[in-house]
Amino acid sequence: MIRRALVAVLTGMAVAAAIRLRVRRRAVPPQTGGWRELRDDELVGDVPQGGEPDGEGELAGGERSGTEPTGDETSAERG
Amino acid sequence: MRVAVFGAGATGARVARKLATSDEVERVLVHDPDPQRLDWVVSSLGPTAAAAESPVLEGDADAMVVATPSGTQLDIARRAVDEGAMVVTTSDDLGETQALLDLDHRARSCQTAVAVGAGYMPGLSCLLARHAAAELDQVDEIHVAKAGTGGPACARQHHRCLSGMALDWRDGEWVRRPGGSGRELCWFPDPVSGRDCYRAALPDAVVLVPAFPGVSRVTARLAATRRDRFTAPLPMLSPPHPEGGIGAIRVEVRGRCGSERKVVVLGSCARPASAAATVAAATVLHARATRIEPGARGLAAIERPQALLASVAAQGLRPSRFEGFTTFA
Repeated sequence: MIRRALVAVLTGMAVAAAIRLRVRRRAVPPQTGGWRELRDDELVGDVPQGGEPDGEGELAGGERSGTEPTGDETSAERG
Repeated sequence: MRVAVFGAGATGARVARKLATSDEVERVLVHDPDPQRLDWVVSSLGPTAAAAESPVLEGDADAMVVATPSGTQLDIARRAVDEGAMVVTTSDDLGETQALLDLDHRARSCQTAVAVGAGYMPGLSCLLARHAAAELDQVDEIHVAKAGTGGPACARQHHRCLSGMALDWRDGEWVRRPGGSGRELCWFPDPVSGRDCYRAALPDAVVLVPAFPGVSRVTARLAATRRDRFTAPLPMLSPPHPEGGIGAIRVEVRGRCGSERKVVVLGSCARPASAAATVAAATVLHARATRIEPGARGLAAIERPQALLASVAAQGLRPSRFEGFTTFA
């Protein structure tokens, strides 16, 4: 009885680990680009504070650069 | 300039060190409730620094940096404003950040300034959002994310905010969502790379929205593991580490440039406490140099943000830019 229970538990753990490994591998897409440090010429100089509305309508949400949603909502739905 | 630093923890001690080595600072007063730690920090800073026994420093300082644990900064900031000292706070507590921004009227009447959230995120994230916005004619969305923690107080705040209610700006109104929801894979600069991030009670939206009139969506997320989310409603099961490892932030700004939709993604990778100290110390010197207007505001709304970002980068906290698919039809 004890041996059967032990075998069942170990088998269950092995199956769970295999599923988790498979899900994790499938869930992480590759990054679609790379990072580079900003150069000095990109940092110098003050610019006017932007972001003023121009009175036009809101644009539809686009894809997310370098990020793939893996969870419980899409990129356009999140907020 | 005489500067008082409240809190000698992972962030505060580094702020004091950076200010003590600056030519523009003649005196650094450090206060911490732990006398042993205070002595240790002050003795390591050299002759410029001195221990301040009392948290109330009437007329002793021109500027104050509040680097105490989040949730304990409001009273100190309020007293400093009443004394007419310029204040730099590093809190990342949502409620406290809102209360600090509410000091705006009081600060204006006292003719002093409060820089709210001058840390890693918020702080550097606000400067990066402003830098990214400069490339756009109109900013529609700002999404920020953070991975990693600094000292023990930062780790406790990370734990708390995962079980709180997140506050997002969505289509012109505030929306509350439960912390720990909204899983999203965010790519940070290497070596942090991809992390699952979730909503949390983070203050970034309340700091960024006033600085970007017309923005339709602002969200903030925090990298967390399944164990973090599962144990968030419980007390911390093990004491926090003295100092976290490498952390990162990511700022994604979407908007329009001419007739084209554009996405600008900036980030940074550093030890969060060290990065927060760099930003806070640079903010003190920047505020002094530019004589910022009275009032309480985040770093995205501060005068000459590009100069502050350049100053931060010159101290080794250099931002990165994500280059991938940046434009969409």
